[in-house]
Amino acid sequence: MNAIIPAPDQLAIPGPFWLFQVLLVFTFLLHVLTMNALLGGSIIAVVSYFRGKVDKNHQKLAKTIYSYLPTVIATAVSFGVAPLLFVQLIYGQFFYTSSIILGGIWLSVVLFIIFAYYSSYFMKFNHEKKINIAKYVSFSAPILFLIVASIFANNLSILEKPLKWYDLYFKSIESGENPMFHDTIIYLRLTHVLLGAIALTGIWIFLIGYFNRNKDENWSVWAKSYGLKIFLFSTLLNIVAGTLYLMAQPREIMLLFMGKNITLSILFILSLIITGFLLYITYRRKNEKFQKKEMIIITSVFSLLLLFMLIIRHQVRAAYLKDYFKLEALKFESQDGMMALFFIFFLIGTAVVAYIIKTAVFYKQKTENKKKN
Amino acid sequence: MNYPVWVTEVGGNFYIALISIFHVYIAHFAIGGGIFLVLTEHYAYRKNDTRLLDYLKLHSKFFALVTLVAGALSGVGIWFVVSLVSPTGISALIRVYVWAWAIEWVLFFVEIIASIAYYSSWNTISRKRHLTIGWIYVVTGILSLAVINGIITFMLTPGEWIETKNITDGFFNPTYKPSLFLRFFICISLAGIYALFTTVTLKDKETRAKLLRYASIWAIVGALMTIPGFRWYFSLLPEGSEEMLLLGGMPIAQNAYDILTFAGVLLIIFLLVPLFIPRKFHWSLTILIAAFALSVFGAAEWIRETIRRPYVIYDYLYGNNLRIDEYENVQRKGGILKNALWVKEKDVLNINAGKDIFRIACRSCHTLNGYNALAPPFGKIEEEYIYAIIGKLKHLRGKMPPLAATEEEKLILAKYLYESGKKISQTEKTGHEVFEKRCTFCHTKDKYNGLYDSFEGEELESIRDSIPILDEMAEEMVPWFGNDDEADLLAKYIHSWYLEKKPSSKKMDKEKKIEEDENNDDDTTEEEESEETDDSEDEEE
Ligand code: HEC
Ligand code: HEC
Repeated sequence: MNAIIPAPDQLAIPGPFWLFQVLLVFTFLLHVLTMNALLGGSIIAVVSYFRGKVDKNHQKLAKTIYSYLPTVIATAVSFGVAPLLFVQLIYGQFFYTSSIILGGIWLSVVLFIIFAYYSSYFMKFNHEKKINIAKYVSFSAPILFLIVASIFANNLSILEKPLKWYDLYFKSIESGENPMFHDTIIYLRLTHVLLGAIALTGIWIFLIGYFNRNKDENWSVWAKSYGLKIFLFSTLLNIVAGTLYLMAQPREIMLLFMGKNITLSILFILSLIITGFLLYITYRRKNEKFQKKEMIIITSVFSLLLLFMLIIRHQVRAAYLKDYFKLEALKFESQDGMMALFFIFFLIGTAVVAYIIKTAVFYKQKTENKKKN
Repeated sequence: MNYPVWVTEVGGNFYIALISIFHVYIAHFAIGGGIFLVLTEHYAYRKNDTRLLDYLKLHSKFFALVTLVAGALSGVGIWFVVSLVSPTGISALIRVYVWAWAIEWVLFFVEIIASIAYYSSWNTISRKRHLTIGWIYVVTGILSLAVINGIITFMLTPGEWIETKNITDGFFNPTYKPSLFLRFFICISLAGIYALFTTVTLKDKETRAKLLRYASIWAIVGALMTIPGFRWYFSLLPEGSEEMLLLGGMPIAQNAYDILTFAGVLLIIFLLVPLFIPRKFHWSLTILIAAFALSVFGAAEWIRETIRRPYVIYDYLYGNNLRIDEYENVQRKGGILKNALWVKEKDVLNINAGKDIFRIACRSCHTLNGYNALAPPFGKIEEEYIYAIIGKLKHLRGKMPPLAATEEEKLILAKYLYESGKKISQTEKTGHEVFEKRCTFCHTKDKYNGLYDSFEGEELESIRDSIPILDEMAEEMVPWFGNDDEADLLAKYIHSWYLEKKPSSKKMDKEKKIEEDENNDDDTTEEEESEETDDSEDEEE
């Protein structure tokens, strides 16, 4: 049976294809950074919340993460909007179809995020109080975010497999069969993402510890080493999960990593080397003091790894859709004025956000320091 | 035709309306509330009013919790649900306006950061800096309204864009300005209404009374200014909208319009309480006021969604994801089953083909048993009658896209709809019921496509005689499928119209009310009076 692919929109795409691809990957990187922090952060916060009842260090970590979490969610949501926009622009015919196959499940994502968001605000304001329901509410954010993550993983997996669409769609509308996790590979995909999120949160905790080094020396040392430990273990596990995920791919895709596609293979090997390097330095130095230089190396190398992963992911999707996505079928007609206007807004917006953060965060620290002295 | 159709028994359009109403109710507050906070903050500094400042701190937290989470995400929710119901529509909006959406995204992000900074930095940064952040929020908020307004109004009145495909033409379309004006004052009004929520919790009696009055002024001024806004906006709507709103050309739209005017009057009346007797203001009234406001602005949103029918983008794309220019192609190239991608049953004689056709041609707007359901009206009537109706969709109340089906496809669709109908085997006992069963698909008594004038002055006999041959009187009519008993009842019912007093104003009288009038029901007169007041108020503006 042939795949059914809706015809792409007849209206022109108002800019060059490469630019939208760059915007897609760039904004997705921003989203992944924050989204992983909220997914991993909400999980680690629960662990620390319960261990914090007996352990002061964990108590402080839970407090710190809970105080950031709502803001992280707000940023993750807004960073998520942009890639969703660009993916619909260039891959609309695939994306809308897979979303419709999920139907109500896809729509429920929004509701889950709203609940998770409010529950994390609840935890922010109430985690230190002795109220019983906080115990139960604490679980809701991580569970809901996990559900959201799995719905996204399912949608994007369905998107890549047009051959399955027909069956998934008609089975779900006729016999109510659930299209979620139609293929076990999606579990692997989810595990890979989840462990990545926890690893990123490890780095995040490490950074929190680092930036608190002058305020609370002991806790800072603890947080740094705890963060790196989290990173180390989740990444080790993720190497296993990632390998399984790779091996579960169809043969043609796997071969791409083994030299059939040069960029993909090089990126893949580089990623492995970088991972090895990160594991090595975090393992060697997890209990020591860190210089600024090392902190910068760890974070930037980790960001690079993340970027590579995203480019690989983008390439793999392109490979999956190779037979179905026809660039010639798309029309392009640049709206130069609007494009310029966007970049102007983007620059001004970035500057304004920088100003706000500077005023609200750094100016605040200054006054706090003054108060202390 | 191109995309699979999302099958939901609740109804895709119902979800769209529900989420949009929820969203606009918060999103307009997100803009108006920002203006409210910053202006009031200026005022508090000038008067050095610490009580007022304490209130603002409380209110800004409430503001952030409502707008950041529920407001922002329900906006994303609209996008999600529209892409499920109208993938072709949202795709077109993104193709044409991707840069505008991207600009909107930047504004959205700045807004969020500013809002978080604003509510959390009252005590930590200088007054001047705090106000600057507030103003950044206000400016980005208004700009984001100005951007999204261009896209929303484009769907209803794309104006010149249809010809030129020029983005400026589409963006600054005929209803851009009135809609912006209208929405701005909805923002102001909601700012006051939401402020009531936090104000009623204040302990200090004097501050509470002062602030209640202050908030109600915002709410009332905003609400009153929306009246010219609505009028301006309605005056520029596409042709035929008035019929749908006022004359029952589309029952759903008319109901929404009635709610809008009715709740609007109540809203203003109830807002007078905090204005004139703030000390007597009980917190429960806040909930009533909020509910009226939700009804007014929600109904406005519902109207905007429904009078766009049969289009998703006016004059460009139909509600069932079929472009106007595609329609003829489908017709010419052998109908729906041949042209649609997501078809299961290709054999047009199989009843499952009817199911496919229903899904592809009707499901985007109808369900069987949920919102805008077809099983109830079709359960009462004959298969041949359904077939006849399907052939005359464009004459029905409620605008529908033309059906690009072949004769065989119409037959099997009728069969499918007949078999899915909710079978109610009771025979009609009153003429009114027969009228609803056989005629109100396309007619009303005296409003949209009204029959009052057609039978005026005729004897019962001649009405009775004309019923079986109505399709000879007008080409567009469907034949009579009822039996003699039904015809007798219907004739008597129609004849009874002329025994009552002639309806004074066609717009005012609803069939139901006339029936109730006969019983001399006091409530009805009161209701009519209140509707009249609201009309005269409209005129005063
Ligand atoms: C673009 C959206 C749209 C599509 C597509 C559509 N309809 Fe409708 N239809 C409406 C609206 C809106 C109404 C009016 C509902 C109201 O106001 O009560 C309506 C009303 C009706 C009614 C009258 C219902 C009643 O209770 O009186 C029938 C019958 C009907 N449609 C049949 C169909 C059939 C059959 C199809 C598919 C071939 C179809 N419609 C496709 C929007 C649509
Ligand atoms: C499928 C839609 C439809 C249904 C159902 C329908 N009609 Fe009509 N009818 C029309 C249309 C369209 C016209 C032409 C209106 C015009 O000319 O303005 C019409 C015209 C008429 C006219 C002539 C009006 C005139 O003044 O020229 C009469 C009388 C009439 N209908 C009565 C009825 C009655 C009684 C019923 C119920 C048994 C009924 N119709 C059911 C669509 C319908």
